[in-house]
Amino acid sequence: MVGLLGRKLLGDIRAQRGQFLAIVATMVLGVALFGASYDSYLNLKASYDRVFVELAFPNRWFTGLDAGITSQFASIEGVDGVTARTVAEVPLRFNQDHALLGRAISMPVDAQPEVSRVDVLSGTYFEASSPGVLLEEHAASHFGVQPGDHIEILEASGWASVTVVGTVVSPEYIWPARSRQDVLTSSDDFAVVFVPESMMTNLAPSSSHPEVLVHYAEAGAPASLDTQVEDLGRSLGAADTYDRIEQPSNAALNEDIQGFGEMSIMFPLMFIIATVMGTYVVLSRLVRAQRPLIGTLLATGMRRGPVFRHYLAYGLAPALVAAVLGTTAGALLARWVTTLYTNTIGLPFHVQQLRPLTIGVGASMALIAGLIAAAQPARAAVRLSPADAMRGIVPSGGGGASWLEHVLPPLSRLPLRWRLVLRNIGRQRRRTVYSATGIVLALTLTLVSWGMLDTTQILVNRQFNEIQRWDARVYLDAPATSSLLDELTAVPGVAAAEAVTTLPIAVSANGHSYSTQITGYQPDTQMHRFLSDSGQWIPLPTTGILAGTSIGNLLDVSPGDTISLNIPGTSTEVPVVLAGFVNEPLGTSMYATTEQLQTLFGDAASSGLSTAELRYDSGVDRGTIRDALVAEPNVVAVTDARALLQTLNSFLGLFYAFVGVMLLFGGLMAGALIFTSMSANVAERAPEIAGLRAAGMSPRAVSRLVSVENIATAALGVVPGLIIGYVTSSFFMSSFSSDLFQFNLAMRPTTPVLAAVGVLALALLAQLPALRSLRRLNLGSVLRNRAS
Amino acid sequence: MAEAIISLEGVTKDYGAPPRQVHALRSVDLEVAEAEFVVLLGPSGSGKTTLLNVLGGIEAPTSGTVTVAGRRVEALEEEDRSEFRRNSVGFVFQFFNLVPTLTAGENVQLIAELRPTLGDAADRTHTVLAGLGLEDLTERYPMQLSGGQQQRVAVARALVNQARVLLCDEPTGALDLETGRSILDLLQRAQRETGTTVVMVTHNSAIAKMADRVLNMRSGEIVGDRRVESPVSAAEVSW
Repeated sequence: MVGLLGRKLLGDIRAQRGQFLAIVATMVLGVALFGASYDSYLNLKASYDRVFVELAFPNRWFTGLDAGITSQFASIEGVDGVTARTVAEVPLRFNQDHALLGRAISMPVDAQPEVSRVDVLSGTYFEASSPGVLLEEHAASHFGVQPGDHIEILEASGWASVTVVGTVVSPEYIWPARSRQDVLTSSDDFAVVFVPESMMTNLAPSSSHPEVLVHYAEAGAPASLDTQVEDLGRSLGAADTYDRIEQPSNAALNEDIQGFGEMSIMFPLMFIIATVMGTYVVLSRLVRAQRPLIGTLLATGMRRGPVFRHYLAYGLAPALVAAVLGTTAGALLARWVTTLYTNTIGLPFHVQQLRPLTIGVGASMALIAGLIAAAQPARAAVRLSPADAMRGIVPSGGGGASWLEHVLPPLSRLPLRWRLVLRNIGRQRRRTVYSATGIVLALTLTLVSWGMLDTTQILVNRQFNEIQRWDARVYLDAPATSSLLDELTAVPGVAAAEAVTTLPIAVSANGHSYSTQITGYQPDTQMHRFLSDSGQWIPLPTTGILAGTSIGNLLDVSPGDTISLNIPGTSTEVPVVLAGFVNEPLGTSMYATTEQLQTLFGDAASSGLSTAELRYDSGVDRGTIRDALVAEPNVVAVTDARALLQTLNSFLGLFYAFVGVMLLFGGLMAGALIFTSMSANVAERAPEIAGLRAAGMSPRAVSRLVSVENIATAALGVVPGLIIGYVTSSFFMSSFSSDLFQFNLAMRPTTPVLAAVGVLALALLAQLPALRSLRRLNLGSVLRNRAS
Repeated sequence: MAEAIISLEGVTKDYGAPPRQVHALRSVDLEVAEAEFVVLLGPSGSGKTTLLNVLGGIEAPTSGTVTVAGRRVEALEEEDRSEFRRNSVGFVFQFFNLVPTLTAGENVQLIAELRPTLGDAADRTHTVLAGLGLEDLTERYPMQLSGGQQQRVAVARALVNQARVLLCDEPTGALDLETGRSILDLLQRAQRETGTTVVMVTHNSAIAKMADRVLNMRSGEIVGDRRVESPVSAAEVSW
């Protein structure tokens, strides 16, 4: 008997293969998405961890400490490496004409440092016999530099040509971020070069500062060790300190893989919910259609247990197929995504693992979803009274005016066909709710994906077109006097030039501190606009400073509070009033007038390279202007705002692909759920539809009625879908927000409209198979047999 | 004999392909006069329902010509067949196939609205329901009606567009004697009072007594065609 039921199961699934395929496809997507994103997340974390172990990524950095104190850190139990080095912000020149403000980091000759080693990709590590420099891989690739090539470095005595002996990957620059305020940096504007200690002495002393890096023996070192190390560093006079979480490259990458982690739960869950509902719809319809058979089986003595298990198997069978296909696809996709990601990022070590736990959880997700979905229909099957069940199938849904007609009595005067549509919507309430939920899920997935896209585009535009108004930033080896600014303005295509001052700064209040930078502009600057927290453009205050909104949370301060500023390496703490917050998408910077900075910090405000920001005439050739600027006598480096934008846009290419895939997946999910729901509706109503057709209602008229009903059902999900989608999207984006990025959801007004129209269009498409089956309805057969 | 409203010439209907082909109708020739009450008798699988479906344009014949109310049914496209059905024929089935979300009146009116040229659909619905003594059921939903009441609504639905031909497939098959008789009475009244042609398929030979003409079918062929000299009224039919 069980064998026969098994054959019945296969036969029924074959008869409704469209619906079962849709269920399996949705389930496969959910399981595969989980496997791919969760394993990718773990693979990436493991890959980073391996890089950190292999290259001794520091656990803590100190600036302003000299090499003489390293032994004090080394004596702390749990510390297995300490390295002192010098770091300098220094102009570099590639291919004779491309000057940028890069970074030089000292390394010991002949042997790698204990902490923060580099992985040599080509060439060799430098030796006493052939000093040269090591060039970080991003710059090497961007400028096509290979071992043996020359680059130029600005020393105190002028430009010096040095030989690149190797190209390297550094764990500190896997994501080449200049600072936490400058996380998105173009290779056109930033490069890192590792140089022998001896070469650092040739650089201008004002541009460099000492650093001490500390590495712990165990990956999961206790917090007490870190506190002990931090306290020691501060007591020794460290100007600033930060840990791995705050390290710019690591922080940026963490944001990224954290996204994988969040998506690996949220998105698959949506698919699984859709699967549960789709399976329930199909199976509840199946049980209704098989009432007489179930009644006969029960009446002839079959126990309820086997019947229950039989109908449970309808949920488990597709789940089993989906578990196998989904976990396999997930494992393969995880491999592909990990390789793609690590190659794009340029990780020197990849970790690819097949994790039984991920496979187990993915398969369990499918099987549990199948069981949950089938439990209620199976229970309904065994609860049938054999006598009632054998009487045949009763038309689905009861009579009665629709809920809307009760609430809005004038609706009962609508044309009969409209009333029919209204009443049919509420006929199978649970199915209607599930169809509408399909729309809600699809809109949520769409708005989360599209919201990310919109937010990124809107915020990038806000940062680079509305807030940052400069086209180029030039670094000068002389003070930016008005005559020098005039010379810059005289360069064809340059419309305006202003001197700006940028200082690294440690800001503290209420026992908290934060390292950032402060930029001084003239009060009526054309180079930067300041967007207040409330969305208003505000002037730069002549007293007090403006700070990025994150400062409020980081230091627990509000406008009007007094905060302390300190330039790392100096002992002076300067109190200043926080005049207000600025809402800037990238970084958490601070702003003041140049005059105020001069008042606050005196000579310290004008040490090192001076900087000017330029605006270009519209429609000029930026490359030509850049070349002309580099040729100016006092210009040592040029940063083009547009180059950074282009870099960002190139990253967005991957992002667009991701959003496209998510939209496709969302479409498939909604389409599958709507398809199963609509198919069940049409199959269940075949007798009455055939009755209408026999009475002369044309196939077109019947299709129109069913379509309007389907679209109205789908439309029920639109408003909650838009609300839930918006809230979820907002929550999702805010989870990416930190002092590095302010990702407050920014959505174009057209996005919800387009998403709603798209999803409704999808609902129209998803019902096509059901409509086709309507046209193919065998009237003779349906009308002859009560069952359908 | 009055002019034929139904005319079949050499009609065959095959299902499937050789070697499993089923010949449901084998070269059927038939003429039915306007206002005739014809009963089709025969065992299961004899082709009765297939013949009825071919007459109503629900199924297309494999070959032959089918003319009903002046229309060549077998030559019609799908949309035209729908138009033919709503203008010329009415169906009554063993199962009532009413829309459960519409009241009895609305079920009838929905079909009445398919022929707006006949006048206001609500008025016509009221008239036909009143004529069949169903006024009290107008506001009830199918689930609030007995099987017989549902079948009476189905008859009203078949009549509301002034069908010239009523095609009935075992209309009493799911009903008890008393209820079945009342349905037969409605059909007989429609035939006698409005001149509607009725073709009824049934297993029940007792019903044949109320027909003008009885056709016997077997294996897809009409094997008997006899006229009933004095058809009895529906109330006299008993089984």
